[in-house]
Amino acid sequence: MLLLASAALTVGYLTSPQPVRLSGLEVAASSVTGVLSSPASEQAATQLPVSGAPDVTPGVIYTAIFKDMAGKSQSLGQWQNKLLVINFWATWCAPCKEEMPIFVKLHQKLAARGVQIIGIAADTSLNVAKFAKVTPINYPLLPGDAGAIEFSKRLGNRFGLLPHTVVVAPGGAVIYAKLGLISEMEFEAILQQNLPK
Amino acid sequence: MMKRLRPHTPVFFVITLIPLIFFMLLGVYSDETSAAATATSAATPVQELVPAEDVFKISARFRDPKTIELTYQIADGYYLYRKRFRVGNESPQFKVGDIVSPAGTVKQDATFGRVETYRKRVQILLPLSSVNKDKGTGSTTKASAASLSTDAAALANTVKLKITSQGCADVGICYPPLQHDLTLKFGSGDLVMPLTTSGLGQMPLPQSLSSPDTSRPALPVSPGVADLVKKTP
Repeated sequence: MLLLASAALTVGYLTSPQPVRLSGLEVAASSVTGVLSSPASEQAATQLPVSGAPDVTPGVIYTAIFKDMAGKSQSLGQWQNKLLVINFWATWCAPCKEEMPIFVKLHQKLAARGVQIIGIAADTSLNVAKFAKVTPINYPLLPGDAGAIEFSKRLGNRFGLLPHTVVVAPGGAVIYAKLGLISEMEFEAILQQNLPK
Repeated sequence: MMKRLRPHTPVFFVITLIPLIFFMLLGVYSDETSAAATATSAATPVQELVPAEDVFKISARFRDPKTIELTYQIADGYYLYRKRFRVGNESPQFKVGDIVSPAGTVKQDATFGRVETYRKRVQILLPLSSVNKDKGTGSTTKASAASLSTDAAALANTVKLKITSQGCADVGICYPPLQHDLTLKFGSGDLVMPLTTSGLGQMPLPQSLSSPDTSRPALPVSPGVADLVKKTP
């Protein structure tokens, strides 16, 4: 018995997860959940690796300007009445491209209900154009180059990792933020629960 | 009939302690497993990511007087893109030739087609040549006319480079381009390079990640170096 218990204890230690290293991802979570607009999304977001947005004000988001594929300046302020999904990505980021079909699908499904998805690329317009030619995207792609990473960092992604997805409620409150791949079902549920009235 | 066990005997203590120890250990084990289960359900692999400087460890040395060798140690579960290495030269007395990198593992990318990646360990070579001054006329030779030199004066200079690389984690997340400042002097031995910045910085993004269809041209490197470098098929 004693032997069995000791063996089980060893297994318990061996199966323990590695310590979480990027503590900033967790620490900052509370600052995001603090502005969650619904209990359902709060529950969903707190279970995710959330990159915080401690000093993000609506002004930070809505005054940001990026050029679109045609070279025309686009201010994020034009979408302040929308449920805005900001997806940071790059053509050199394979996982980013992997999840983009989900955004295409959700944009098609929910654009008429007040959801606006935008893809801010940490990339050149040339690379983005090359990508878009192969993979048609139905929402605005804004090639932000280095400015994209800087803006992503402003929204709490302190290591500038990609993909990074942020959902902003109408008015500018960040209600969800995630580093890494989103889950389609989970993400759609968050959007559905926070559709503009 | 069983003999009645009397209290205060050593045998009595051992028998009564066994279940006690068992349940104590079981309790510890339960705590461990429940903690592990909680952490697993609450944490996705993203939370196990580590800062870039702990994932991509880089050291540099002079392989020979004309070649700097960069060695990347890449943590398990992470990889670097072959075509994302860039070198910015801040040493006017040196010219850096094309990066010499071995063939990587080929992946198909929807945008860029054939893309190569490195795992675990990779060595990148940077061929150096010195820019000599024409002492006869006093004018500086053009960069294209830079000649390979191993003269003592050139080697006495310190080479200053900005090395950019970029990689991702298998869990589905990518690091932004990483920049390392390299200051190296011939004969100074190995140098572990601290990460300078993590971000796009001022380094231009490549036009493509894809591998060239043709082999790289022969580079002016020593015979020993050539053994290391596999030609791109």
